[in-house]
Amino acid sequence: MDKIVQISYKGRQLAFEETAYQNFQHYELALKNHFLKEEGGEEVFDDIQNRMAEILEQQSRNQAVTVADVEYIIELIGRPSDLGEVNELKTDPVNSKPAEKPKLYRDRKDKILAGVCSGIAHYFSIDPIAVRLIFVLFALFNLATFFALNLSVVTYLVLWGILSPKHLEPGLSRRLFRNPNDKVLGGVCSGLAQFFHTETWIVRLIMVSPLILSLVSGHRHHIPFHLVGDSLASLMIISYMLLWFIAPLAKTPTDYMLLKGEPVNLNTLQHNSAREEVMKSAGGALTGILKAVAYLFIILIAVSVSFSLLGLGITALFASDIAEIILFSGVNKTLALIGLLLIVILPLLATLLWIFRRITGTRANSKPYRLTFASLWILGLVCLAWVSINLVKRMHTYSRTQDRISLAVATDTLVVDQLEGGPDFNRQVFFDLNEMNSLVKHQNGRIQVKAIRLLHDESPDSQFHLLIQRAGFGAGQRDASEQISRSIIQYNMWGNTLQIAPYLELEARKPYNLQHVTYTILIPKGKSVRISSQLKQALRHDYAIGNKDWEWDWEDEDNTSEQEIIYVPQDGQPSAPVEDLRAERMREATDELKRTQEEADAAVRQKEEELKRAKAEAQQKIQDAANALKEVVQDSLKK
Amino acid sequence: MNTDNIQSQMKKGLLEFCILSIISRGEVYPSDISSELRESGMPILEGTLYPLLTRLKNAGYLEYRWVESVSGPPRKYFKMSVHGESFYQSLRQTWLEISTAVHQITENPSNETKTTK
Repeated sequence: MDKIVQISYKGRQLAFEETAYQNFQHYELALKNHFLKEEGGEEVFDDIQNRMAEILEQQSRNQAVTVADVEYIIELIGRPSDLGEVNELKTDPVNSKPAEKPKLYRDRKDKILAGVCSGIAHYFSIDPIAVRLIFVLFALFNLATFFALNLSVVTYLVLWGILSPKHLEPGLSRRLFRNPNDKVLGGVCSGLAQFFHTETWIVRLIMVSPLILSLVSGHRHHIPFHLVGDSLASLMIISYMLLWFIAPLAKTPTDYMLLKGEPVNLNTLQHNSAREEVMKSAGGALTGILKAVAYLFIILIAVSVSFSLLGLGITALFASDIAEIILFSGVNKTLALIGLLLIVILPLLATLLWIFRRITGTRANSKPYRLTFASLWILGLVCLAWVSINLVKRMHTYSRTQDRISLAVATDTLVVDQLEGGPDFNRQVFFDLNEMNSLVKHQNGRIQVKAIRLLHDESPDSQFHLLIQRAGFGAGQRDASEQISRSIIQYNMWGNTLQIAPYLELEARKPYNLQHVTYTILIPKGKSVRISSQLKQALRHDYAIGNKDWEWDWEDEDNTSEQEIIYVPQDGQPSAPVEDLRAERMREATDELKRTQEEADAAVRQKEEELKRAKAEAQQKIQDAANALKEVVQDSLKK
Repeated sequence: MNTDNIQSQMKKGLLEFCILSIISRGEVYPSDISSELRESGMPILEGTLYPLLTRLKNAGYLEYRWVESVSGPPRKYFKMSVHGESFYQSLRQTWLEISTAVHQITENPSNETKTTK
């Protein structure tokens, strides 16, 4: 057994077996002689010593360095006789067997995400763009399972994990690039033009004309152009953006030659490197116009999208009065507003700024801008998240209470009416949007919320009962109960009339936690309930009156001004009173009709009488006139 | 050993280019250089690598700095200098010209320009 020698070598503590140490010293000396022969060799030797120390430490793994370890070092660093001239590059003896390499790799250099598509394309010797296109199309058209389980995405990720990266040589003769020498937005059109050997302006025209067509033909629907223009324009825009993302930028002269389909050899290489400077295409004016159109379009889209979002958000938050009282506390409201503004305005600003910088051509570092905008936007998101979390915490638990009250009603019909003194919820003010759908009113430092529902059901005994179910949300069970008791409801028995206030009342400065109340009137058999038209009107805007299974009939607009009568029949009897009312109405109507008929008849008779009299008079007159004439004739004859 | 000489001459010419290519990607530790070369199919003895690196550094193409290491003394990391970058680019250009020229000569004896597969 060898003795163990403890050595401190280049700052590392190493333990050698004695024989191993002798071998090592021998080798080190040989190396030293070799390197110190040349100028500057001390530095090299020092580096190598450090390296050897590192390897020894790793190899020995806290045990003593063995002869085998020293052998390993010699193989790795090399014998002095092997160094100096790169005579025979020995393969590393430790890793001698090259593993069976798989043929499909990820491309290390030519990649957009991970080089998966490039690798596949290289394997099949096609343009990577084709593979990328397939992946993207599958990703987009697999809409049902959008991101998580998307087939394309999953395949890509799996391949990313499986394939190993390798520097793959380009093996194609023709590839599509984007042309940075002549670009308006991303050089897509000029790249395509070079690829297909046409002029750039032709490609640009093709890209843009559907857009112009749709803009021009506008909404004159009898001209079908605008439909064709719209869909083609969208197709063009989508394909442009897709290509912008997929196709790489042409950087080296080789790229340009591959783009144009020129064969890559020594002659053409020289030819092209010289010509690289002069590659601007013709049609400068058209380019300028197209540039302007493109930017204008982007601005339009960005502005309209942002403002619609802004409008939507603000409406949702602050125009709806229910939302406002839910979010009541000042901090929450402010946060929500800030968050919304940031999230919506920032992208718009960022786009405008980008366009501006593009136009003025500033090539300054955009990183601080991006950082500022991104962090502000995230701040907005955080604000909104905070508000939502707060809301959820507050509305965490749902609680319900139930009370049953007997009502002393002398007659067979209980009347349910609106309790006076409250705000006029049913006043329909047209053209005042605030009033029309108002669910909240502010009065005397208190808030009234319309959150009442009125139902009816059968009573278990011969008495009328009122079932009051109150519910609400809170942060916990106790808080929910507290919130419920904070909402004040009002009802009153006045003779044979039950008066209900159609709203809940809350203190002004406190938020609303979606408390609501359901009144259920239990009607004994053989008795009925009449709900006044005012109450019906007051309650109709969002909650229904009626049986538990009954659906509010939106068509039944003209019925709302009438009072509602609900009758619970005795077993076996038809619902008489309702029929009564209808029959009564019919009787009234027929009576009315008869009366009118009689009046008409009387009038007709009267007219007939008058006509007869007139006729008689006329006849008499004629008779008189005839007699008078006779006398005159007789007289004249006598003479 | 004539063939050995020619082969070694070929490899010798390209070794610096390959090493510079690796370094051009970023700061690197010499043993990483040698393992990458080995993986790619161009193995090198570390005893050859270190003098080469030093020579390049002395010529002003490389810079190095000491990086503290948790396990033991600090290590030398190499990166490309500005000079080195342009030197590397010209090497690259040369390589491109030569490789395409050789490719044409060896694969297209009829002098008809046939594009590669």
